[in-house]
Amino acid sequence: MSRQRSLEKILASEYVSIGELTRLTGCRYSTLKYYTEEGMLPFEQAEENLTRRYRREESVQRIEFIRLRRQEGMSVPELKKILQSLPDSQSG
Amino acid sequence: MGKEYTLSQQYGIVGLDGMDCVHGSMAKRAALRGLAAAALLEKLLFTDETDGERDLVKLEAGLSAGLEEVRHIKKKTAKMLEKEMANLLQADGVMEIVPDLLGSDLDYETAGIDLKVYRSDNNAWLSVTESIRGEILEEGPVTLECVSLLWLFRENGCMHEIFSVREQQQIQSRMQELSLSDSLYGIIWKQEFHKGLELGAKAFLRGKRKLFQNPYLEGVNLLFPFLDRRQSIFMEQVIVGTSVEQRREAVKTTLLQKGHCVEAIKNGTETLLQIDNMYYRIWPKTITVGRVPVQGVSLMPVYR
Repeated sequence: MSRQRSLEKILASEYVSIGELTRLTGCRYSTLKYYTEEGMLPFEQAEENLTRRYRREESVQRIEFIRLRRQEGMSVPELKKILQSLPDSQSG
Repeated sequence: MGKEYTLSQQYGIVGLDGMDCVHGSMAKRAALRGLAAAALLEKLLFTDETDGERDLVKLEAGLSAGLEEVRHIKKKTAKMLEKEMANLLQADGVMEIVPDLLGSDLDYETAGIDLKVYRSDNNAWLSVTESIRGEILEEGPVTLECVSLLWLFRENGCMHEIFSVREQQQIQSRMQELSLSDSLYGIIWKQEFHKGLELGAKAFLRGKRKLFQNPYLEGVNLLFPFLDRRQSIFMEQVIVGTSVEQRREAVKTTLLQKGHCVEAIKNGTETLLQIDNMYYRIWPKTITVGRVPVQGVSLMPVYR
């Protein structure tokens, strides 16, 4: 049995789960899952289980970057091209 | 970024959303019993003293006894719990009292019936439901908070507002696995706090589980409309010579004037209306009142 982490703890940790990312960004789970599956949101996978974990800071920045570009009218394929050409830390 | 809420508050944001704030209904009674059950869980599982090693036998007995009280909760106590939670969430700015969509139905409108419901803030509603979705539908550890909320939503009958039929099946098998690996989850998941008619309906539905997972599409709502948290409504409107967009715009304008949050949302080839926290499909329809045909549109709730 595990307990939900408080926002304070989430904000202090390097890695977060997709559920925690929804709490941090207000993005829908299905949207984040789509970004992940399209390779727009990098994650790491622990060897011993199938849990996806995301680098908190980079992921939040990247989600914000995607959100802004989408608001400006950029399509997903265009965004994917831009994101692929950028290292993780520069996407924000 | 979402604010941190207690288990009861998280449940209240979802459970009270769309419920009539003055009159009672079977759906509302179930929602209020959920509030009492959430308070019981907080007392038994979420205090500092209960964080350490747990005596599961004692806990199960406490939970069963507590839920027996929840099942027979007095109207006055339930009302008190409702007011307390609603006031708290309203003070926090995540809940408000708005006109009920049902009040826009031709029958209710012409009868001059004024209905009011609780409406949760869309961001707060999404924050609670999406973080649960992100946890239970993903591989990885599932927290006690998530299991508790899922159980409350299952008992309250709002699973189909949050999960699709396929996702509900996925959750069912995931919870069976989790119950085997963690006894505490098993103890929570097997408990029920339904009552009377709802139990009868549930027994019937157990055999036809799929029906309950998406009531409108499968037609169960026609059999148990009293159990549903949302209703289909009919609004009078000129249909002949109008386009789909014009009808949608007319509905949108009328509902916006009445204080609802309305937004047109593209869903593949069709456009749905998001009214408050729920999605509706607009359907042109003609009904007869006495012998007079009345043109209008029907708004039907759409689930995932």
